[in-house]
Amino acid sequence: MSMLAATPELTFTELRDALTMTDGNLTTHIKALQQEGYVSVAKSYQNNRPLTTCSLTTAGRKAFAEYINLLEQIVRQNKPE
Amino acid sequence: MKTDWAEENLQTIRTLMERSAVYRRALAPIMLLSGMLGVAAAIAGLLVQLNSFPEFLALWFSTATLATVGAFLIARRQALKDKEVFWSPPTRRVAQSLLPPFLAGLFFGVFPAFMHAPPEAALLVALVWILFYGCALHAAGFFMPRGIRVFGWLFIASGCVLFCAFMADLPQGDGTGYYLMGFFFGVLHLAYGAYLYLTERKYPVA
Repeated sequence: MSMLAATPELTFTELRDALTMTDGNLTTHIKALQQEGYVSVAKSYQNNRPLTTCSLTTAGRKAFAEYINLLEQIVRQNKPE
Repeated sequence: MKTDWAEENLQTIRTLMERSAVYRRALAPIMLLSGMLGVAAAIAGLLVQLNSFPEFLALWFSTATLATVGAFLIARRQALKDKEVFWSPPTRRVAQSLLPPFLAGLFFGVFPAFMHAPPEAALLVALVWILFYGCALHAAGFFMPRGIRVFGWLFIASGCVLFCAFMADLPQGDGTGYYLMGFFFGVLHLAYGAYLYLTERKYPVA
């Protein structure tokens, strides 16, 4: 999510390589996020080869921003004075 | 130590997210609007023959004001549409980076007018504006796609080359200032805007 939040879109291969995940593992994660409406997947062709690109939806971006806010709140609360 | 590490990581994620928001914020329509206004102003200046320096200045300051207001409205509209904060820290930083070169450009335009500069000064002021605009784009480029920095360098390099060329032989009263402004602030913006439109993908909402 944080990778997708920082860029307009990423290909499946870019995500897989950056996260050092297997194809099957990443597919499962993306499917789960897609079902929640957080990630959209577009399939196209590049040089006659299939290209899968993922991007955050508006709902996904909003949810992720809220999640970051929550994490920051937790970090602030646990910060020693 | 651990909380500092977490805080830093969260700050990095937040910065990257906000940078991405600025990137998505209507750069192509802003470029196209600026380009159209630039071309229209250059054509108007040449057709109506606004040859004196104050007329040249008034036309381009009005055009710059229109372009700035238009860019502001386009960016605000997209921020509202995407339910994002418009005046976010990165947007503020972009505005802050643009401000010094823009103010310097304003000074180099207004000062010669007070000194009753001849019409030929328009060409030199156009070159100075091209240089400062290039610097402004480059400075603002931190929160924009890499292409905007390259675009800034194009203005800086072209401004320097043209400055040297015109120092050797300064054209006299033939509307070169308008051609330069029309090309750099009109045609180049239109071309970059069209390039962004053609290369940016439209994202389906799941």
